Amino acid sequence: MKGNSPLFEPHAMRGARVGDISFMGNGRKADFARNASRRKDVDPDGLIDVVAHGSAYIIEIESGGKTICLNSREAGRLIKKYPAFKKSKGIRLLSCSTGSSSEGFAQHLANSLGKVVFAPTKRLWALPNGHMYVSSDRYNTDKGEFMKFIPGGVKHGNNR
Amino acid sequence: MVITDKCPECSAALEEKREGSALTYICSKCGWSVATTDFEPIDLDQTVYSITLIDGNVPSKRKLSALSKITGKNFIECSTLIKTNGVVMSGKARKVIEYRDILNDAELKFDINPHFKY
Repeated sequence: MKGNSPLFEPHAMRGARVGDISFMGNGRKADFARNASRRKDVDPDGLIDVVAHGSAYIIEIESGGKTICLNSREAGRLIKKYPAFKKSKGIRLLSCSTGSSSEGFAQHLANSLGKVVFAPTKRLWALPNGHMYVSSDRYNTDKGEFMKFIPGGVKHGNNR
Repeated sequence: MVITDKCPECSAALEEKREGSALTYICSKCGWSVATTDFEPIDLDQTVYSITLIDGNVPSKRKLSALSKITGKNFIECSTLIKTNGVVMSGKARKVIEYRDILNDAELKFDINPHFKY
C-alpha cells in the first residue's frame, strides 16, 4: 500500500490500513474498500483519504460490530484523532455523494476540520483494479466529479 | 472501460449483491466486481420525528416496562408520561421504527409527527 500515513487503531477505526482511514467493516460491506485499496493514488497531494459508505449528509462507520451513521461533526472528531491529520492538507472523501450538496457533509466537514475537503458529487464506484469513477449509475453515463470544499463555505449552524 | 451488465473479464452475467448500504455487482464466475453505496430512503431521511402518547393508555407493568426501556425513565416517571400524554422520544426514522415496534408490542397508543410514511 502506497502512502505515508501510519496505521491508526482507535476503536472506531479498526481495520484502517496504511494510507487511508477506512470506516468500512468486513464482508460485502467492505467490497468498495477492498477495490479502492488498489488505487494508485493513495493520500494524493498531502490529502488523507477517508473511505466510508456515505450520502449527502452522513457517513457510515462500523464500530464494535455495529453500523453507526455519523454527521460531519461526529466524523470530524474522529478524523482529528488521526495522527497524520495535523500535517495533512485536507481530506479526500472516498464516500458516495458526500459532495452532492453545497450544505452537505463535505462542506460541514471542511468547516469542522478547518481544512479543504474533496468529495464526489454523485455515487463513487470502485473497480477491482483500484480505478474509481463518479456517476449516479454503474454504466458511468451520468457522470459526476470530485468537488473542492473550503472551510467557511457554509455556516456551521446548518450542520445535519 | 465500458461498464455493462456483463463481466468485462469473462462476459458472464453480473449479480447484484447487497449488505446494508453496500451494493456490489459481482461476477459469480471470475469474481470481478464493481462496488458502491446504496442507502435505503429511510436512512437518508433527515426528518426528526416525535412519538407522543395519546389518550387511552392505562398504566400496566407491561406498558411501563416498554416505556422504561425506550426512555430510560423509572416506572413512576413512565406512569406520569402515560397520564400526561408525554413525548416518548424524538429522533430519526430508523429509531422511530425500532421504538414503534416496542410500543406496539406493549399495546401503547401513540402518534408520530410529522407524518411517518414507513
